[in-house]
Amino acid sequence: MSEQDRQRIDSIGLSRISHHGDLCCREARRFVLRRFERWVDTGSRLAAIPLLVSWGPTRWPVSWCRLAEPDKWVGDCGVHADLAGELLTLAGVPYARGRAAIKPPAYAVPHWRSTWSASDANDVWIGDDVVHHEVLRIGERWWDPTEARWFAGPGAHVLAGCVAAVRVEGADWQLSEAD
Amino acid sequence: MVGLDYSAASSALHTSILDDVVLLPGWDEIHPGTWMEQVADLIADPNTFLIPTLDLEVRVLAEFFGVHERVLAPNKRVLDTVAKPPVTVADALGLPLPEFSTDTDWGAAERFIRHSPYGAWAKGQHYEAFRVRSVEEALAAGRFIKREWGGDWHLEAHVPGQECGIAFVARNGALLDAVLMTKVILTPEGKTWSGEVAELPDVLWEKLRHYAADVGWNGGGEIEMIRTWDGDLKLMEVNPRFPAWIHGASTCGANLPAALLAEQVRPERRRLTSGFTRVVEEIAVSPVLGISSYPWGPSDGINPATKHPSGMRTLGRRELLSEPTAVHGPASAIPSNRTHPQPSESTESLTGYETLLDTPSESWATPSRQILVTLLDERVAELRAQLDGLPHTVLAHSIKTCPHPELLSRAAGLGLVAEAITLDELDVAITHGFDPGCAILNGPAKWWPSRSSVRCGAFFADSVEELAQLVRSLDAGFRLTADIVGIRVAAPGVASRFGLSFERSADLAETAALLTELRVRLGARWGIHFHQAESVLGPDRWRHEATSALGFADPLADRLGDPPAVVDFGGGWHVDDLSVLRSSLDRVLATGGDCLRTRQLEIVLEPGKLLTQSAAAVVTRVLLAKGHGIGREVIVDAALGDIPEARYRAHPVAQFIHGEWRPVSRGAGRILGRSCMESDILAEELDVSSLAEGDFLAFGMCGAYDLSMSYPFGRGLAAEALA
Repeated sequence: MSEQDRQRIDSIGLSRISHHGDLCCREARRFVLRRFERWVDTGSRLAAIPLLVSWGPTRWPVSWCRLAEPDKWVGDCGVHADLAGELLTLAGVPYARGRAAIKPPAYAVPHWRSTWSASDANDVWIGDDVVHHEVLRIGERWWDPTEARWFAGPGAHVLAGCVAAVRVEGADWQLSEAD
Repeated sequence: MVGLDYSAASSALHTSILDDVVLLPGWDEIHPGTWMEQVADLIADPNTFLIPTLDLEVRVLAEFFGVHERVLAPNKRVLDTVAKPPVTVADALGLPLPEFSTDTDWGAAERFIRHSPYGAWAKGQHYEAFRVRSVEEALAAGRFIKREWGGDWHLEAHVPGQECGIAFVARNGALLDAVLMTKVILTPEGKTWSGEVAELPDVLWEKLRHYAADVGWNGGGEIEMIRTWDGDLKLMEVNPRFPAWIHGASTCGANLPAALLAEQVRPERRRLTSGFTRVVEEIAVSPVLGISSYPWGPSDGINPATKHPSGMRTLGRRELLSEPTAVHGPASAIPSNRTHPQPSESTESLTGYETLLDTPSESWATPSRQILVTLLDERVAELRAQLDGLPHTVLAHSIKTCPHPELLSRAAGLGLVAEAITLDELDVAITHGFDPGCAILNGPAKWWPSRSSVRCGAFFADSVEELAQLVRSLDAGFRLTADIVGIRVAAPGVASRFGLSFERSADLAETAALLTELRVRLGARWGIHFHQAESVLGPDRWRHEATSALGFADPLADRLGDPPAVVDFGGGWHVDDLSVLRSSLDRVLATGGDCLRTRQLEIVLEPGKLLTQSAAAVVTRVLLAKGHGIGREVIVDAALGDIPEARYRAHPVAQFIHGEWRPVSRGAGRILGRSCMESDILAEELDVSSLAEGDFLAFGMCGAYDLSMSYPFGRGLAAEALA
């Protein structure tokens, strides 16, 4: 991962679904989280996130009441990661938010740029070689909230590409051997 | 390298990498003595080894050859340790097994499935497993397994998680190599299509090494596991041969078959490729073996080639194998960390109904019902004891479940309130002594048939449209007196036509507005109602769904300005689950909405058949006995119309013999109803060998829907004519 990529990714704030502090978001948050209650265990609930919230362009900031509004939910990895955090908190499972630098297949990047551009969403997460992706650290393992899978850390492959580096929020980057 | 199989349809025999092929007849044609001679000839050369890869073939080899230095497969003693469920291996590897039950009669299977929130599997001792969600499915799967494969079967709880497995190889007890494979892509049959391959963790390697040494494992093996989301491993099965994906491990750098032949120990510093995937490759068939066209089935044209062309199923049925001699351990295994133990009562011990039955006489008209009021008294007392310490609890009697006049009067006398689903039911309840001011109205047609005025204690609307309709009815002059205006909330994980399901704030706002208007107009408080059959969901899922559904009490309370005055738990509870009812309520009240934790909250419980199912029996007489021995059947003068629930659950049966009623023990016979319906089967798997014409029988546990849903089929008159 280049120094330029690292700076670009570090400049991206951690995604948080915001709360208006009023009935609108209080109820909306309950509606959103209730959708996951049909699954009994925490693993199934986390696995349901990308099924219920399709991965796609998201214009931040996102509030609970805005998220709950449409029939078809769409969210980027930041929405997925924050929802996963909410569900883990409800289940009493300790976790930490984190981020990964992923080297995607070269032909994927222009598609993502076009899609994000068409939606007028911020595409700072998309670099030429490395893209930013929000993940979680749960125990000794890394969880990808968008692909709903555990991964081993730097050097592992997820469907979006090879994990070049990963870090817990506020901690140092762990680089893959290749980097 | 010589390929050996039992059908020319086995694809791998056609591959050009084989130096030679041995094609034996299918297992349905094999003569065991001749097979032994042929196999002995094949491995007569000291440099020739046989590596069997079919589960049952391994067992037959162990049975016929015992320990043979050139048969690289586990011996009988090893095989006894891996019989399903593999308790011995689980202990040796320190891996827990899923919950299981080898007791597979109707009652045990029903109880096991009800207590398995993720469903269950019916698994054969030798082969085959079917996912089952009901006792009917489980028993059908068990019958199929026994018929097709031979041997026993058991039930195992489904464990959600990621399938993974260990392929390993040992020679005369010395562990040579092992790898851990996690499935990545599965075929629709659950077979591995691609997988991640990694070295076995040191702890597991050491345990496996000790186990292999203890039992003297020889040959390849596979340990199938589930990794739960928490990362824990559970042991599913142990197979006494290499897995089908073994070449995948070879491509990753761990060639276990080669290690077996060369007695080669795992290299010190090996770097495995991270995984493998499969491709489909079409190859020309061997000109020697050729290929034959589809076989024709008896009636429906082409019968596709079966999953087991070698006839391995037949092998299981040919009784060439002796039963495993290893101790299986307990008939069931429940993890020690389970928070809610399964109730231990059996249906029979719970009721003891036969001791309360009258002595029959020749003058009795059968079939007839005997009402066992004492059992209703006992159940109500037991339930009240369970609820001891909970403030403000009310028990309700479900009229639709048990509308018998004697039991209605008794329930009213015991201080229960009536739960009615129509105004006709409410009228009947009042006639039998229930206080209308305490009665609860539920269901989608609670205001039917139309009345100009209704008085009840509480009603729980089933939809927002019903609330709006009620407002319109009040506008039109309908006079309603009720202390509680309530709603029924939908369970998120249950496909149901009932209850309010809030999807957005607008739904909540509309509901709150209508509840507010009705409260003002009726001068009532508000309540919330959860209603799902625990007897169907089982206690684990019931708790989960109730907790989740009642979570909407909080936002409603926010909008209405005060907490609910009443929470009403409805839905029939299974008669066996009384012992977990209190803990279930406690859990839901502790983890449901915050507003449910007020001292003033009144808790209404409508447990339906839990109270009344034991309170009636159907007495019948044998009209005719057919056949002999274990296949004997008797026809009785009762029919499915008298015991309609007989199709869905097993009823205990007692016989009047030697001047007393005694339970009929388990067996292989059936009790058939008097009607001409094929489905008129009242009981199965009972010992009816001693029953004769004129004998009196009594079916217990007929006090709930067997009472309310009975019908007069085969009596020569329609229901309304009889009425």
